[in-house]
Amino acid sequence: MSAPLPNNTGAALLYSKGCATRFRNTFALDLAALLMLAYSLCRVFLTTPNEKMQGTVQRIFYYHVPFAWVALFAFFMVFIFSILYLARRREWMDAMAVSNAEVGVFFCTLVLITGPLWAKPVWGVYWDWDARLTSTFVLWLIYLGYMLLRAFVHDTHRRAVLSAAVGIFGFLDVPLVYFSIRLFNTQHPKPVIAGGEGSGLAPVMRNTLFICLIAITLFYVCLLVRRYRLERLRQEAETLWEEAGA
Amino acid sequence: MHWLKHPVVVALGIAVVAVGFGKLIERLAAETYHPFLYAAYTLSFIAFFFYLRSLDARTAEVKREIDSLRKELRK
Repeated sequence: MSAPLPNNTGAALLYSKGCATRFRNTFALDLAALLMLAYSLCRVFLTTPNEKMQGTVQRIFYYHVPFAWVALFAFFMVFIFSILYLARRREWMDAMAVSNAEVGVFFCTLVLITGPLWAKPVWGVYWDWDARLTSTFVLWLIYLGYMLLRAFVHDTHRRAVLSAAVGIFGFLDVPLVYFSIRLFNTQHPKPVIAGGEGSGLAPVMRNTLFICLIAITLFYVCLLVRRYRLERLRQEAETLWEEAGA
Repeated sequence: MHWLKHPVVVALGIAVVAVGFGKLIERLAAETYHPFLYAAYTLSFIAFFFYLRSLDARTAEVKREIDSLRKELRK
């Protein structure tokens, strides 16, 4: 817990300087993400050619796939920080886990929005209960459950331990999502990156995909920094409440 | 002018900007794109905006709570 600030000019200046430094750091990151997002949009809409079979609607792919990759990465981070929390019991590890879970749910929601919008013109239906779509939907529900659990358990340590357990066991669905299109016959297309023989993308399309992946990853970091800061402040507020109640 | 900050107005504003941006791009690329392509990207950017706004609003709320708690503890 940070002690209350002494009410003098020096400490106030130091505090405001700290805030300003943190703001500048975030500003550089935000600017980089914004520029990359703008560049990625130009690549998607202006310089990348149409896919032969699906036409213009295939361009949803360039954001849909990075959303999915970033969501799975965020859930992997939840898994790592949940294990670390159970081993070391540091508050910042719990804050990292919950921040990644919320940002992961956000990107997973975008996957579940952009996917059906792509599916309707190509498959003729918005949704199909195949292995990939169902396992992704279950993954989204698991981490929504994680967020609900945190909202309903009020004891700080109990909440952190229980959510770490859900974060570890919930991750079991991530390999299932990843391998579902390799193991089962699905309506969802087979992988185009690291999909083995016969898979792959034209170089210009692959480059656009990687630029979009960099842009979305930078945006993920921006969101994560903000969400982590919020969680640390919440932890500080909880400590102050305990102190006020004692 | 508070109505300008209403979520529905902001979402409609982003959608209008996206359609204008889309028309400009179509002119530059000399091609007509599928409406669902615009829907996917517009909805993604509306979600980006509202999630960022919600994070900033929640942070400001917790900061206010901390400030008032500190004041109370100092008494």
